[in-house]
Amino acid sequence: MTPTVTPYRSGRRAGRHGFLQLLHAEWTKFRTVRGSVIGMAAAALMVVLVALLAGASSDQKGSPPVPIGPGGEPVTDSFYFLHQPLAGNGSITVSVSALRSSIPTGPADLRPGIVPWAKAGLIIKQSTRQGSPYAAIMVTSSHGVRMQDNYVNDTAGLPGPVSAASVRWLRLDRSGDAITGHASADGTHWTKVGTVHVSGLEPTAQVGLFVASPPSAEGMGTRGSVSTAVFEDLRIQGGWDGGSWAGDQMGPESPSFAGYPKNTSGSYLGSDGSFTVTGAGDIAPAVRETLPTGGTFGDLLTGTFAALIAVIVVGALSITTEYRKNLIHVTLAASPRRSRVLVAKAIVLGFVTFVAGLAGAFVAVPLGERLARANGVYIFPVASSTELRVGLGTAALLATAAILALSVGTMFRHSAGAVTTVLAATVLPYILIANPFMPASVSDWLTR
Amino acid sequence: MARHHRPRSGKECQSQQKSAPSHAVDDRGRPYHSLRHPLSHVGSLLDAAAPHPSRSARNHLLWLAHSQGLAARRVDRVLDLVGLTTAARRKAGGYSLGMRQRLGIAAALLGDPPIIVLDEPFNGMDPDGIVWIRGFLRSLAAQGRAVLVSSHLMSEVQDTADHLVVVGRGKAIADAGVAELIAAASGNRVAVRTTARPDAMTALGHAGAAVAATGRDTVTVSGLPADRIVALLNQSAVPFSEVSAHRATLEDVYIELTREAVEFRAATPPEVSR
Repeated sequence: MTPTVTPYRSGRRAGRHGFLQLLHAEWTKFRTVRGSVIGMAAAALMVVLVALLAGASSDQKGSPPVPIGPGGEPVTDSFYFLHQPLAGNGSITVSVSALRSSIPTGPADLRPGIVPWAKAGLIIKQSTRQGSPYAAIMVTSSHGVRMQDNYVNDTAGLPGPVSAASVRWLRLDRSGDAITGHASADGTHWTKVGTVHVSGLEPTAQVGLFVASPPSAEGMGTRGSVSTAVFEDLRIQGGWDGGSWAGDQMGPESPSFAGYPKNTSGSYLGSDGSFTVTGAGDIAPAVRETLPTGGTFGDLLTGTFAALIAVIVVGALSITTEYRKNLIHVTLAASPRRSRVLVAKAIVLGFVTFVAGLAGAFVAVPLGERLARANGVYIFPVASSTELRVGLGTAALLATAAILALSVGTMFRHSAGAVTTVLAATVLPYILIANPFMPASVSDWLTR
Repeated sequence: MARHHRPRSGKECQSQQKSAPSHAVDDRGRPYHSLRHPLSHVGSLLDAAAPHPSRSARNHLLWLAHSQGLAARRVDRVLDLVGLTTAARRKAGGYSLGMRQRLGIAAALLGDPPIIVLDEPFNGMDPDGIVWIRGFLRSLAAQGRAVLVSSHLMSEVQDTADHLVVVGRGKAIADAGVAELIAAASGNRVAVRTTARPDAMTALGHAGAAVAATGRDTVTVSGLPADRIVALLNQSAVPFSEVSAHRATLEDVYIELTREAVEFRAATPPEVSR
């Protein structure tokens, strides 16, 4: 009964073999499962929605403006200033014999502590306006003598801490807009620390003593600190009009000023060239941590966490569903080389996730920024190249997480196991550090 | 067989062409994994298709087509061949087993391969579907394709296959044409229906035939041709109402083969029990 027929020849010609065909197939697979497409769209939407939420829910309307430094950047310009005007060129000298800091360890419980960048020294400043140009020479708790100007420039001088046994003499000389700082360990032998040009310094500037004490870092947060310095041998030469000293807290209302610990305040005590000055605050560029009314692009992109969850689920399911439904048999019958299939899958998934993440970030940032600014939030300005980098980085992070989930899904062949594992590895650390009861050491380790 | 699929134990019927070595599928002996477009060499239905439940039949075939560099119109062509065109854009999750079988057959045909391997294609098919697939498999074989079908449904195989391989306990215990097997199992036996069974058995037994009672009024005779039996019965005045050649079914063949569990070759038919 066997019929005599000629063996069948496929009408198909062997076309160009290509990895491209495999990519095309995987792309068709991806786009034809509604869940994957919705998951990816949801990931992009999460990024946008959280940015909108962040922008819309932040209400800093009416908060004092953020001081802007001479370079256009946001600055912290809060410190205790014992000052008087100096007309024209001149010189100011002082010795510092102590700089002590206190950190609150609980309600109404202030303990001595180390605030590495507590500062005490001499300053020549354009005016008492926040953000105005300045040059200063100072002792610090842990970083020796420094000369700093205009918030961003810093030169190291004599190293070592200051104490009664290790007194530091400081001197600032003004000549036009050139200000030179000297330091000495004995008041006789002076070492030049540096000369800076403070452009736009008017003929009459405010000069004097200052004490600043930045908030100390504590886990994910900070606590305001206070520092006290002992000055002696204060001398001014030059255009000094012989007036009296005025003590002022600079920028007490500034949003970047963390304030004094409870039951403390800025003050000065003394006369005739010997003063004990207590102050808080900092003279530095403002950063996210020191500017509660500020926001960064990173804050606007918090939705990336939610997006991570979505892309991890999509990534893991894109392979585990194949195993669960035995679709993998069909896939491997069509493309017998397993590694090529997986690479094609990873490329398609990574590319799609990258595009979704990039689109989400590029829509989220301008929208969130606009809303936040309308609500009085100061958004730290960044270069457009940085903006681009942040967008690309967000997209790359999401793509990497999706491919990681795909890989783990390939190993586990089990949806719930793969999703749980990858989520635990990527998102869990951030959830843990958001827990306020987490010990600081654990948080520090998790965010290292 | 595709390399990554181990053959299942069970019964397997095949037509025309013997199965290729397990590591190679094409006539030049190339291993499966090195084939450029494997679906153009061998098409298979292995798991009643395994479509993603939220993907439509058309999209399932579409990605398969893309992986082989095939155009979308080939997809529509095979959908039409298996009669799934109207349901093609619905999610496969809602398909009946029979519809998934048709989708799997469409996938097997996608690359227009000369070899088609179908695992239990009759499962879940409604009577219309069974009639359709019977004719469809014959037409594929008539085009010169090797169609390998594995099935437990002997009646379907009997009507469809040309060549049969029976596998029992992991071994091929028969490898022959279906017609040959049935003829061998039937022997040269003749079924006689008579109201006088003992008389008939005596008369025929004296003439040297082996006679076995198979029912209240039926006997099976071997060793004598039908015309000789009629003559003998007339001679002895034994009344009878029917004399017919006994024809075994494939089920009989199968039960016989697996019961005896002896190796069976087409060239040497087994002794029929007397």
